[in-house]
Amino acid sequence: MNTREGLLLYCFKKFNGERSLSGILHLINGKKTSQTLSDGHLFELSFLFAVFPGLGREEFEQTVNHLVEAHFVKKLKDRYIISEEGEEQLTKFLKERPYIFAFNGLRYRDAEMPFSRLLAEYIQALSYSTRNVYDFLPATRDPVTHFRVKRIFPKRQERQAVAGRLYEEFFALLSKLPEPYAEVFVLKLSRYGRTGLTNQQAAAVLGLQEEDAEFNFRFVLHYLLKYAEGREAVTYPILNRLVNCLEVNDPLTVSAQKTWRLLKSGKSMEQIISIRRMKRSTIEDHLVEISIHRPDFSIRPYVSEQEHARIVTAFQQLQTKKLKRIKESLGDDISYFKIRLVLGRAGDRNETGRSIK
Amino acid sequence: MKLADLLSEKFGYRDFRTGQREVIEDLLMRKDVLAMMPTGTGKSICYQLPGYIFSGSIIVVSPLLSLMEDQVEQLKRSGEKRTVALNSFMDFEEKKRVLHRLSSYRFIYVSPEILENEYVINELKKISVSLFVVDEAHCISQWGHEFRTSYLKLASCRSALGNPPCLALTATATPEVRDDIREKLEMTGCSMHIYQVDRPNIALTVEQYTEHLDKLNRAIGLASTLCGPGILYASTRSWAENLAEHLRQRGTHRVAAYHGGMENEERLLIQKQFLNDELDIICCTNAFGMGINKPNIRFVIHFHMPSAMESYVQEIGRAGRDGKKSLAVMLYCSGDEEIPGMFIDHEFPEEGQVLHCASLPAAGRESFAAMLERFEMNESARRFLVYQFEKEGYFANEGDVLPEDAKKRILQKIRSRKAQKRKKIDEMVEWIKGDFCKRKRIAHIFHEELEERPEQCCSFCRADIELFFQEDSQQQLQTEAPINWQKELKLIFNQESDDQHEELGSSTADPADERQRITH
Ligand SMILES: [Zn+2]
Repeated sequence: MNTREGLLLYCFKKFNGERSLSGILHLINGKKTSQTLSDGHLFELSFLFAVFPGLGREEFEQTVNHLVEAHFVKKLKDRYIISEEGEEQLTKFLKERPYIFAFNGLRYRDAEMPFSRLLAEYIQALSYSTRNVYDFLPATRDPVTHFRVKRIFPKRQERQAVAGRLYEEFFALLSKLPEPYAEVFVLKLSRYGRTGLTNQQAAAVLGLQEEDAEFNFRFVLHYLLKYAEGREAVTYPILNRLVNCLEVNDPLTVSAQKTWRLLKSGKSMEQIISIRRMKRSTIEDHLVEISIHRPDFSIRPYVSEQEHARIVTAFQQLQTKKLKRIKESLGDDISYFKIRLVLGRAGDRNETGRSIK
Repeated sequence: MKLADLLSEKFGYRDFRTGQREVIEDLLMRKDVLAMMPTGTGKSICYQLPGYIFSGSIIVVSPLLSLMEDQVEQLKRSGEKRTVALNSFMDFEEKKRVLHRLSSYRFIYVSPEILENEYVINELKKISVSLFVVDEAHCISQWGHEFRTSYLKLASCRSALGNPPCLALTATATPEVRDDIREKLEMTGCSMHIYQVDRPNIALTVEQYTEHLDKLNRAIGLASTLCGPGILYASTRSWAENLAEHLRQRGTHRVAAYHGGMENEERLLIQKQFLNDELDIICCTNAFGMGINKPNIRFVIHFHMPSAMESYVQEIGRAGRDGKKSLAVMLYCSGDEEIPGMFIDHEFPEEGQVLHCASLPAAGRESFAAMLERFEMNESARRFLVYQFEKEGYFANEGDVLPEDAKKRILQKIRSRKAQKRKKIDEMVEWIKGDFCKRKRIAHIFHEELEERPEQCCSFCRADIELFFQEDSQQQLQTEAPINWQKELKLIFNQESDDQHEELGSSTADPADERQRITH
């Protein structure tokens, strides 16, 4: 089973037939809308945001059909549900990829390419200059990357020592991963004596599919980012220094960021609607996004404590994330907006008191 | 200091190559110079060396971002830090930083588009400019094969900078294009240095087929038996991929495709692998080649014909820059000329699109350009339209539609430009099919006298293609060592064991000895 099939199975399991195929496609090809972002959060699939950027509908549907034909997924009317056989396959798939959850599309989607360019150029320069060779073409043509590398590149007398430490950091991190990840990663880098390989070439050398090779590489980037900026950053000081050159992005859509700034400046929802000349529903989408990604945002002005409790109870009793069913059980005075706010808050922090699995 | 001393001190060459000294001497006398020199013969020395003599900065207009950056990198690697490239892809902060210290740069590379920016011009006005260089100057002529409208503004730009002497450089330009360059750049009393298009060390062969499959088999057969490294040109991305795949299936592993549809990073990797002799064959579109200076390319095969003789001469000119015997093969199958014919149609806006745009009330150049992006129109068609509308004064009269007569002029221009381009294709086809010495005909097209024919001249003169085959045709046996990432990681960070370390660490030697460890 290739990476795309495996991860799709995972999506089907998590969505559990509660979202359409489009919902899944938009999540994995990275269409940044309020809907995708809040779905990702609600179904604990944010980490797969943009896992296959640029994946087209046709190719996507082919993979889905393939999963259906293999009986890993059952089609019920227009919804898709993972089968028992699918569950088995999925367990096997995940077991072979123990660190898959280090992938974090939502957080690192925008940082991965700049990070990849930075690593490529920094490491190549280190690889040559520690051998006193200076006549080489830089690994990228990106002036921003040149600038960043120039800013943090060690002085001549420190280079061998930095290379040694960076080697240790990479060795420690890559050793924890299954071999195919480490292999793709080292092959993609350019060093003294060998130019890095393209995805296609790396795939050919390792006997992988091109998309898998590309995923493996991006996975390692995410994994490195996670360890280089997370709690363990002190263990990996050189990598941490590299990552600190980048701006790791804001998961909010640009439009929601604007709304958030207005909110913080004390504007009410009504005022924002008129300032931004946008539909109420759009601003509501923004608030749902904000409720997910800004822990300092309080949903209380929009949902009373008592309403909050009613929504949580309904959610726990019905055991569904289908808004329509929750709404029907609650009656007219609770709007979809309120339900989405509460469920948005639910996600990882489990304020509903029950983990969503 | 003598010029030759400066040449060896700054660039490490002992001798000038043909024409360089003559061009430089004219420039030092503050003359305008038009120099036509085949690619790879060191055109850039012509302005880089004067850079160390003149007191002011040297501005170099270059049409391609990649070309520009290659030049800047080369200069920096040779120790010239006072070099910068200004282009519209720089981020704002970076641009601001550079613009504020312009006078500290010896060489300022610019794209023609960024010279349209008033702010940039104003900053450039503040510094002293000793020389205004226009690279790929044929782009200024609509008779040429790579016309770019943004080039037409260079004359006014140069005069805004106080009319510094101008050096126009090109690799291939017919006499009428040369006249056009001088006129459009307002180069008065211009001194001309024209060096030959003919490259005696490249044998020119043409083969014609009636069946496409025969041609394909021949291309694959040749590419895998000819002595490399070599380039295979195709006209589309999918054909470039296709040819690479065919070759791989035939057991030629060190081959890769290169085209505009690939990610920048991936293209750069392929280019570097080829330069470092890690690849033997590149299957590419014409996106590959500009600014690539690889001396030992042994063959160039055209699987599809280019759209003009100028492009053809430029593309085969990438072979044999080291002066050694090399081969150019043109493979033609009846009907091949239809592909470049189709490209011409896409290069210009359709009549309906012109009429539609003309009927809209004018609202600024920027928003017009932005609107065009939503049309199904390629970039050169959009640039053409913006330029023509601007020329007709459309943006100066906000709220007005384009007048009838202006509309007619533009449509007429499209028709005549398309006709010109078709003529170029016809010329190419005629060269392919004609019973004459191919070399003599090229000389004739570019108004050169052919002094003598080399022994391996062309297919008409019975050049022997087998002389270019690999000596022992047992292809490079690929021993694919299994990948060991731990070992790779050590190599990357120079962490080999001590004895090995010494051997590598001491060297500024050829990294090639290591190359075979991993093949692809
Ligand atoms: Zn001949």
